[in-house]
Amino acid sequence: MDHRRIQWLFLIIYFLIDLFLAFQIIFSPLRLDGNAGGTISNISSEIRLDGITLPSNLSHTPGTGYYLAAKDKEYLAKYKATNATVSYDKSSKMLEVTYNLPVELDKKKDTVSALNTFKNNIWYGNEYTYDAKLSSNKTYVYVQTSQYGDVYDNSGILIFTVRKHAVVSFTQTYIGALKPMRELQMTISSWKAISNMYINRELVNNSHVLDIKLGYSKMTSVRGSTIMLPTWIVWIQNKDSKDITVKELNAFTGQIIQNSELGYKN
Amino acid sequence: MKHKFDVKDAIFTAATIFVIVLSLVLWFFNLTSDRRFSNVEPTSTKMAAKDQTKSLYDFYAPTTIFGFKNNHYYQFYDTKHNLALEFTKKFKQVSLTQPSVESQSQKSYEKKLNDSNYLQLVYPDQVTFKIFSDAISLSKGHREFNRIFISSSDKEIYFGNDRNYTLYKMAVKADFSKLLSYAENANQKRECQLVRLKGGYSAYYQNSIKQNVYNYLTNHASDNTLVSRLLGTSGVVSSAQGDGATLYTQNYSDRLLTQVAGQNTYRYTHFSKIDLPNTTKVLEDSMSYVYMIGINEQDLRFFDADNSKVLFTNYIEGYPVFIDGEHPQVTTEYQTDNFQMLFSSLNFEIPIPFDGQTKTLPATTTVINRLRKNGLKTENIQRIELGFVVKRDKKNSELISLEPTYIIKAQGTWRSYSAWLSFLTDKKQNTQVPEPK
Repeated sequence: MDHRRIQWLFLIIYFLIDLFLAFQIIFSPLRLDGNAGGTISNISSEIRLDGITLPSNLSHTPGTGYYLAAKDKEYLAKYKATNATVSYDKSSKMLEVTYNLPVELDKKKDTVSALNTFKNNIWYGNEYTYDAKLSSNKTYVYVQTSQYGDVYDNSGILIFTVRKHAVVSFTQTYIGALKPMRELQMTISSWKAISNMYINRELVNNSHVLDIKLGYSKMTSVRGSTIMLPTWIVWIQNKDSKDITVKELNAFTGQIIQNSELGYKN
Repeated sequence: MKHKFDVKDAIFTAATIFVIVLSLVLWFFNLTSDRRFSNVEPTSTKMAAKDQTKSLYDFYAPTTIFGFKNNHYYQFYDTKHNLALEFTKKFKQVSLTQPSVESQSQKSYEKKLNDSNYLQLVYPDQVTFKIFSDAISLSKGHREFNRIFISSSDKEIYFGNDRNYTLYKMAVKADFSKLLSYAENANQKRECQLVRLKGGYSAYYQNSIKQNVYNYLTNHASDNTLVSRLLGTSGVVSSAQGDGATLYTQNYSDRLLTQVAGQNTYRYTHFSKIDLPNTTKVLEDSMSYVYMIGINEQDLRFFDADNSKVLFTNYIEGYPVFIDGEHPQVTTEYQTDNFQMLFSSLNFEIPIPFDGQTKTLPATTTVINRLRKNGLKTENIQRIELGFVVKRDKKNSELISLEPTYIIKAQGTWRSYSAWLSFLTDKKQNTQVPEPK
């Protein structure tokens, strides 16, 4: 091997060593920031690249919410109705009423407006509000509401089955009157909720986030009370199959609620 | 034979020598530079603040609100609106400008404290202007404040430093009318009086106080979770220490020791040869390190700072919580060759509905007098405030109650009222000379 070849070899080897050492200085040591998601702009562009589209109303501003509690009682167990079959399930605290003959709704009004009046005839009916995203042609879904926000949980829901502008039946659950347990606290923003979902692979490629809303869902039952916490409710549509799923996040901590019991998914 | 000078040869040789010398320099730099270790810092605060659940404004937030009603001084608290949160929400939107020193005398300062036109938002300890705005530049001795005075004016706010009586005026465009209205109608008002102690002004409650006892279901972050968050997932070596403790180390630069002050308490140490940063950097970095732990940040707030030491703890219903008689949730400290963080992995997971249980605490003067009788000189007391101490349920390890108490800082140490009494009694017994037989 002549002198020139050896010199070339030296040049190449040392150049590679230099590159390695420079790389070590710049990038070592390990990042210990636990920031798996990177910056906001990074996540935003990654979401776009994965074909995920987001609603325009996302905000970086945090919201607020309370830990709420309601007394655990059999609120609907004694419900009675004439010309109807009434059943009550103790374990799910669900009331089911099927009319012997469908009850005609006010023909001057559209179905939702007519149901808004009709629901006031049933127990706690005025404490529910209509949710179009959860409803379909035949089932009209109302969620329990309070001065603190809407409840998105199977334990506070009213579902009407309607055919030919007449109520065939309804199922109902009721949590009770909600009261704050602690002071008002800050929640994560809707953007933070979406980015958490993306980081935790809860948003699949090629999906469309239809809407995101801050509501309440059941956390647990303790000492005879149901504990509710602020929750980000996210409606996601698969762009191919058009299927819609509803996912929930703890709005205080940003954790995904894995055992979500939303049983009224479309 | 004469060699002919070739420019290409010369450049080639020079390049070879250059890459060899450069590799030696880089190798030397790699081995000796402290950057190797000091670079192991948490995410830059600005980035962390944007990406984390809580921002710097939420960690460094005022915790108590005082004001006047019928010329009497009260501590205001409102469950429905959370006055401190309402202030922070607004304060985040304010464009801070360069403050000017309004006065520096005790007389002027106390005049402002007694001005019934102002609502006072008080931070637990001094914070710097700089943590809220890089644009603010002040000379040494004029960089900190712990009290904000707001009025119906939407053109200016005042900042005060209890420690050196400095009052700053800042021209801002800010409308705090909603906050003032919430404070005016607050559902809890406690009459108190400001008393000058060594660490600033403390609120003295003139009568006994009935405080709620709150309960929580709790959980703890596991050793594995904390190791992976603080030390990483590779190259971590563990070794058993005495009394069931375990020491986890990584790269000789980071270590985590378990069971430092009882169960579920940890000491994280990051070795680094760095000079003590300025107060702003200490506050910013400490917050970023707290993020790294990954404990529930919901109620976590800045609690106290002493030069290189910063304390954070949970605030429940406006009052600080001590994990035991002596420890807040997290204590961070810069030392000459390392950064340390002593913390509890306790998470307040689920609040339990209030069951009506209360505890009556004596008036503040009664507490101070009793401490004095037990040997704690009043001039050594720096701060006194209402708070809670965690009491574990004997039957259910996950259940805790938050027992109201006074927490007192004296001689540089925080302890609950009963912990101070025990400490002083022990001290008295240990210093008593035994009688000769």
